[in-house]
Amino acid sequence: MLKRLWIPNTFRGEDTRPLRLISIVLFLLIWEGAALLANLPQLFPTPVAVVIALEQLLIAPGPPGMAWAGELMGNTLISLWRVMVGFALAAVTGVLLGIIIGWWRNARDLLEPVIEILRPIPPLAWIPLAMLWFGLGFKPAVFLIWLGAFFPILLNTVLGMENTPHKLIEVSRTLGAGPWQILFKVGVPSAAPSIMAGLRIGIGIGWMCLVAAELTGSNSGLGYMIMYYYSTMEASKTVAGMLMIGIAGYLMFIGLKKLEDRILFWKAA
Amino acid sequence: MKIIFKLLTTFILVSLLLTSIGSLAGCAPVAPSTVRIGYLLGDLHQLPFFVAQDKGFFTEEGLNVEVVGPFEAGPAEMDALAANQIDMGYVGVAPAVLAAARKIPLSIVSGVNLEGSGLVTALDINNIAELKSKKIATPAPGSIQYVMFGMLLGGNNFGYNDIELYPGTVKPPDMPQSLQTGRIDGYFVWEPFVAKSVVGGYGKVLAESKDIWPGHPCCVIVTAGDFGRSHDSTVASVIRAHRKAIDFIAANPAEAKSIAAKWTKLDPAVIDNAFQRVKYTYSLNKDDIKKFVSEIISLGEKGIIKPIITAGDVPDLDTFVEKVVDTKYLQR
Repeated sequence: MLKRLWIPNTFRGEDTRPLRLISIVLFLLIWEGAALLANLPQLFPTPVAVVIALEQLLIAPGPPGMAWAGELMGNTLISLWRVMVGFALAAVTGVLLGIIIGWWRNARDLLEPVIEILRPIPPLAWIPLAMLWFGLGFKPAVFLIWLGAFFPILLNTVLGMENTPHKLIEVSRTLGAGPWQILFKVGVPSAAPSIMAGLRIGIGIGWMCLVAAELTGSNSGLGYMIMYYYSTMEASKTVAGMLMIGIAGYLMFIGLKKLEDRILFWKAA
Repeated sequence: MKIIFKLLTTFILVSLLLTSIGSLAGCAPVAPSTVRIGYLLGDLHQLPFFVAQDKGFFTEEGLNVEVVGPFEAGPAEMDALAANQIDMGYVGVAPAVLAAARKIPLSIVSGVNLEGSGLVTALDINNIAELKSKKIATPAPGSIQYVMFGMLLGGNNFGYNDIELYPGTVKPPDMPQSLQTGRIDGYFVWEPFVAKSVVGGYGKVLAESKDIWPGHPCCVIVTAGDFGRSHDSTVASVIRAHRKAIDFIAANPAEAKSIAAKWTKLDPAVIDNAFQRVKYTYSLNKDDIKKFVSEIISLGEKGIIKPIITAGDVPDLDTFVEKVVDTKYLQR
C-alpha cells in the first residue's frame, strides 16, 4: 500500500477518489478539533457553525436587484459575472498582444520595456487609481481582474509563440505557405498549450483580485459579503463566504481544465 | 500500518499548530503598570487619548501606555480585544455593544464623547428625500454612524434599500475625496471628515448626528473582560488620566485643537470646524446605552437595516447593560 501511495503522478491511472475524500474528511476533523480546543467561536468557528451559516445565507435575501437568488448565490453570481467579464477582456487583449509580441521582433522591442515596468506592480496597488478612474462597483472590479489576469496570459502567449519550432516554420515556407498562414496554422497552434496554461493562471489571479477589489468601493459580491460579516462580528458567516470563494474558484479551474482538454484534444489523447 | 501512523502524526502536528494559533488569545497578560490601549484611525472623538499622552497624564498616573493601532474600524479593534492584543480601547459604542452581544467579554468603563458625526452631501442635494438612489458611504456596518444613518432614514420613511449604500468599503479618510471627485453623493462619518468637505467647499452638512438623537453616546473606553478584575488599579489610573484630558480640553480648547492638528495632520481650520460638533465627556449613561441597543434591534426588525443585533442576542436588555457597563471607575 505504501508503494502505491508514492507512485509518481505521471504513471497514475487508478481511481484517486478515496484518497481525495480522506483528505477532505481529515481536514474537517482537524478543523473541528482545533476550533473546539481553541473555544473562541467569535474568532474561530467550527465547521458545523459554518454549515449552519451557509444554510442561513442561502435563504437570506440577496443583494439589491438579486433578492431572488438569496444572499450567498446572489453575491456569488455577481462575483462570477465580474470575473467572467474581466477575464474575457484579459484573454482577448493578452492573447492578441502576446501573439504580436511573440511573433514580431520589432513589436517585442517596442512594447517589452513598458510591459516589464508595469508587470511587477501588484494589481492591488492599482485599487486607489481604479476607484479614481472608474468610480465604485462593477467597473473598477473588472479593471482589477483584467489587470491581474492580463500579464500571465500575455507572458505565456509570448513564450509559446517564441518557442514555435523553427523546423515547422521552414517546412511551411518550403511548402509555399504565406506569412499569415504560418502565423495562424503553425505559430498559434504550437503556442496553444502555453496560452491555455496562461489562461488557467490568469483566471486564478483574476479571482483573487476580484475578492480584494470587492473589499473596497463595492456593495455586493463575495468579497463585500465577507467584509460585511466581519464588521458585524459573525465569524461563521465570514468563513462561509471564504469557503464559497474557494469552491467557486475550484469549479472555475475545473471548467477551464475541461475546456483545455477539449481544445487541445491532441494533448489529452 | 505505517501509513496510519504517518496520518496520525500529521493529524496531531497540524492540530497542535492550529490550536497554538487559537491559544495565542490566551497568552499571559503584560506587567501591571503597562497597559496596551487601542484607538481608531483619524477619529477626532478620541482626542482625549492623545491629549493624555501629549500632556503626560498617563505618566503622572504611573502608567506605561503601549499604543496599539490605529484600527481602521471598531470591529477590528474589538477582535484585537478578544484576541488579547489590547487591554483597553477607545472605540465607538456600537462595536462595543455588538462585541458584547457576540459574547466577547468586555466592560464599557467610561464615555469619551457625545455626538460628533454627520451626513455630508454634494452641494446640490438639499433634503433627505433627494437621497433616493444616491451613492452614500458609511463606515463599517457595526459602527455607530451606520446605525445613526439608519435612524435618520427610518425617521424619513426610507430604508437602506432605497439608496445605493457603500457601508465599510470606502474608508473614512477617503470619503471627502470621493465626494469631491463625484464617486459618491454623500457620506455619514465621524469628525474630522465631516468638517474636511465643509471647509474644502465641496460638501455640506445635511444632518448632524445631534439632530437625529441629541446627546447620543458615541466613543467610549472599553476594557477586556478579565483585565478590570486583574488590574483594577491600572484601569482606575487610565480613567483618571482620561478625565484629566477631558478637563484639559474644556479648559484649554486652543491648545487641545493644536494637539488635534498635530495628531490628525489636518488643517487647523478643519479642526476648528469639527470642534463645533463634538462634545467631550467621560460621563456614561446606562439608559442611553439601553436606548442605543434597542434602536439597533428595532431598525433590524423594521427592515430599515439588515439585522445586526437581534432580540435573541440580547434576551434581557437590563441585565445585558448592567453586565456590560461598569461606571465604578468614574467615581474613583
